[in-house]
Amino acid sequence: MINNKIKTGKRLVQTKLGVDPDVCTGDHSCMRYNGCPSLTLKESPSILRDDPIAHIEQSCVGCGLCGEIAHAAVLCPSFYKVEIINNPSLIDRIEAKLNGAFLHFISNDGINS
Amino acid sequence: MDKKNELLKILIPAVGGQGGGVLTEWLIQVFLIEGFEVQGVGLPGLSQRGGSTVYYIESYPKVNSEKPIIFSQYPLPGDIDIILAQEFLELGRVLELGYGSDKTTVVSSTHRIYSTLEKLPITRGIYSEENLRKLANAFSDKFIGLNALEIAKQNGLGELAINAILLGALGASGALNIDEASYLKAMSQVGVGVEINIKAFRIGWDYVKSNKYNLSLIESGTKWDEFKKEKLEKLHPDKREELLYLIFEIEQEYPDVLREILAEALFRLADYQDVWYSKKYLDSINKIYRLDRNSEDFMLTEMFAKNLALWMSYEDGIRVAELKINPERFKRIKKEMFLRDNQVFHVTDYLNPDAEEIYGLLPNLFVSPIVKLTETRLFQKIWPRKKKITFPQNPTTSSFIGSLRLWFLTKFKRFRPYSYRFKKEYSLMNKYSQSVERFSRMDYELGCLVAKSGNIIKGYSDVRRRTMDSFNRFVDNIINPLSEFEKKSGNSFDLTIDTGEKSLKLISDSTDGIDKAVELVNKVLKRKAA
Repeated sequence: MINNKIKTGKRLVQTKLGVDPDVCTGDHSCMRYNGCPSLTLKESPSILRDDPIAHIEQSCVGCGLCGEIAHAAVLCPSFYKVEIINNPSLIDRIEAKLNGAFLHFISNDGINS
Repeated sequence: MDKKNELLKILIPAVGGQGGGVLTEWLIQVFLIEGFEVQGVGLPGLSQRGGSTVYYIESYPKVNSEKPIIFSQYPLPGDIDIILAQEFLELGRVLELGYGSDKTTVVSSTHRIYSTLEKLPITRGIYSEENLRKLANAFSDKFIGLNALEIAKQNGLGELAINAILLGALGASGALNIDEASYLKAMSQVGVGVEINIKAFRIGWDYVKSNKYNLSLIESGTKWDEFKKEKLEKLHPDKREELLYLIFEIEQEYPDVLREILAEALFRLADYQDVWYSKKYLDSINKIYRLDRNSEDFMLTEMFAKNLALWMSYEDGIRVAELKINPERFKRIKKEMFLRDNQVFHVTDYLNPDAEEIYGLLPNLFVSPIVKLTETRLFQKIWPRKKKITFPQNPTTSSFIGSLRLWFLTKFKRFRPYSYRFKKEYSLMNKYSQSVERFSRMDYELGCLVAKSGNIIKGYSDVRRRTMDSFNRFVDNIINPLSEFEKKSGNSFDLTIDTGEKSLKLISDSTDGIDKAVELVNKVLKRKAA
């Protein structure tokens, strides 16, 4: 159904949540507050961490509850929300190009510190 | 089929939402096509692991009689011919109830969907896969286990193809003496996602026919040189040469099994702060390694190395900011969300540092006396603080205004070693290193236990304070008194190690675990003193 809407050419925003695997320390406080089945365990990409970390599966519908809970209960900064803009307008595209250029500039500089 | 004249009983356990109903329908159609009488019963469950779903099929070859066959609707423990499980723990549950026996053929997917209880403990709480395998092998005549989820992913199929893959595996296993053609006809007749499911069916069939499930997955580990190169490239060019010297040192002095762990730790710390920081880490490891010379697998050094590396790179505001604006992060997000290069997306972060995370970045010299002041009774009377002070923000890190805040924060890196938070973490880290050394000298296994306990330090703000406090009390109120007691009374430290392990489990399972653990220790000591 979403694919059909995208095909019509209108601007459609899809939301998905995610967890940064290098910021998550694996304390699972988020899972204690939240029973979402998409918020599950995954092995850490770092070999130093033996215990599993949090991970949000593709089945996420983008309700944002996990992020809001981590925010309100002051749990941890690992959550992020991705908004995918399908059929972006011209303004969207210009904004994206500018942001991309700036980020490239500061991150190259940032490594110097 | 040498059981041609017998009743055939098939049990299909699954987690809700896996397409168990469709799988049952396919099997029923297969039996009808082959000229059997068949009945299938389904017990639906909840897809949030509130309940398992179970399907049960009974079939019998068609007989020419006037009386219709009446099938049972309930499977009987010990009397099942085929168990076709769609998830590994569900198989475990079914076998636990006794449905498997020496006449059962088990075809199961070995992937896991974790239950809430497994997600809660702060350290690993996942049910042992090894146990499930032992169980499956013991309670069946033949066990065919394949990771249907991995197979589906490798062939570009989604999760819902798992039931078709398992059907193919069942077909190829020879438990039912039925041709491939009948299965394909049945799947076409049922008409659900026919093309994809037939493709998945064939994949499952070939997998079992070619005996692939018996081959252990030999993980091709990245070679040492490739590993080094990959890590060096991610590091800032100025730091690369110095770090290479340290890596050379590892190659000379340390055994091969520890190489990767130590190298990963050095890269991590060099990226986190600087190469002198990595050198400091290596010096600490060396002290412990000297105590470990005689062991085979260097368990003590390994655990200490891992936990110390993670602890020394504790996630403060600077580190989080650095990670959030890293361009590698956005590449990773793109890959995970299957985005093409020209798709526009925004990333918004949920940041909520509390007061300590912010003033923790400031120099210890200024902050420490102020904090001491706020902890005095007089101050708390003047300004009672009931609500926590936090600084919630939702920066859009993919935009330059959002990431500017974070970029500004990363500039504090050079002041990190003088900051209040650094001093606080470091003093506890020193306690950790000294405790590991002290207890390793008493007893090797006790030392390993204390080294392992470093992994309970996790989290941010309150969670971190709580886990740091738990660790502190673990060493002071659990390991210390028990080891003192055992040192006086005997030569072995078995009681300490045993109680220590139990305490770690209590701490990991619930937030007030440390209190329960201290209570346990007090009870044990009282009992022993009596």
